Amino acid sequence: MELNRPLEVDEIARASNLDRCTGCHRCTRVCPASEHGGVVPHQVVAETQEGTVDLSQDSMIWKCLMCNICSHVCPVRINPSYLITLLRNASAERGHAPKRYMEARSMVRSSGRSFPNTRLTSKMRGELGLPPLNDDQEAVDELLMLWSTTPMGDDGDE
Amino acid sequence: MNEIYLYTGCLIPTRLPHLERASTFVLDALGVDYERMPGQTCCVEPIGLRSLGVEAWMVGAARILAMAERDGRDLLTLCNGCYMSLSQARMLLMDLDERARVNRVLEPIDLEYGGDVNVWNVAEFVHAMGKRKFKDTVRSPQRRQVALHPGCHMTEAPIMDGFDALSILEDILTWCGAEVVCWGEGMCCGGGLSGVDDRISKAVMDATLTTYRDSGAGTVITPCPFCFIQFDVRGRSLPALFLTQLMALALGADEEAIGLRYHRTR
Repeated sequence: MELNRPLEVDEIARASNLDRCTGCHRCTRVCPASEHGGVVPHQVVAETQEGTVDLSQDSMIWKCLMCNICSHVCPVRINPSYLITLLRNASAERGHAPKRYMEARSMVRSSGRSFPNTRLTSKMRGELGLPPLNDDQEAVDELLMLWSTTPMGDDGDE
Repeated sequence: MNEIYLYTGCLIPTRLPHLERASTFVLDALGVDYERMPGQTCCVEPIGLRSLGVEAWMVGAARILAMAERDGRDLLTLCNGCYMSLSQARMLLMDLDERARVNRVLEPIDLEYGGDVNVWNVAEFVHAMGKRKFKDTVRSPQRRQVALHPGCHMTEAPIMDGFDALSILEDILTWCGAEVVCWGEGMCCGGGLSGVDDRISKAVMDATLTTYRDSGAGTVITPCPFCFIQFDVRGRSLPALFLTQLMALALGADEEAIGLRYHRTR
């Protein structure tokens, strides 16, 4: 399997054993986002099977909390949460990922961390007697070398 | 040589260093021989960043596992997200074909993972030290009624044989002197959509906090820094403590020294 590009929807469907789905909707009944207008897991499963799943930035796949509760309750061991992750990878490849996640990616690419080391961080750490938080450029360079072999290595949209 | 690498992750050392301070207080009080892991990078964060690329997630996590193994250390995590990322990667890398494939990616940075690192969550680690060890160290029992919020990702990794995350957490809370009046299994903090869809995020968080408040709990206890920040900074309706903060208080920490003044909800 090639891993220098995200899987396409038909490949995701085949890799996710979606033909096991019995349509019990248990995934949707336990989904905390679903009852507030978020993702409808059983619908994502069905639409992925049909090849009609929406990969746009407005898609319900981006309204998932990634809590994984759906995957815990599935009686036939489909993993809707991971399915949504793979679909998000395909959507991100098309440039539809939320700005928040792209900002986190930029932070990791520059500092190795997904949250910023601010002046308030230094002040709080000093007050608490914790060691200062220094960037480790060698560690960042290593991570970026690994990421250069993956779709995350493409920084053309930054 | 130190017994274990403390893997602090990203959110705690940057935005919530008081949670790191409480955690190191607990480890010091219990006599744990640890060292902050050198060269650590993001775990890779399993909600947003894994949504951008599962392969980037895998190789980032594999680098951390391989470094710990090279140095002969296990990994001790403070964050549910780090725990889930590193544990899941560790499990996937038990597959020899997948490990060989990932090791080919690690080769240019002179790392190779052989499958011989344990990943601990701080709750699991303290629990494994035993009830007697902990209770003998308690100086100030925290007699309060609490809601136990494990956080969705605490349950993603296999805990010790015969235990699950909820029972480990409940044991520790009881050792600290607290009474659990509400068990938040399957309850979500809404943090996964914070900053992405704040309407859904807030609705989910409000439903969870309402359940906890209605139970009569005066404090919500969580081992997850993402859940903590949801409740303390965004929820503002029920005081929250990170698990190691409750432990630190029970073990005699001074509130000022572990930075409880930084809390937004008291």
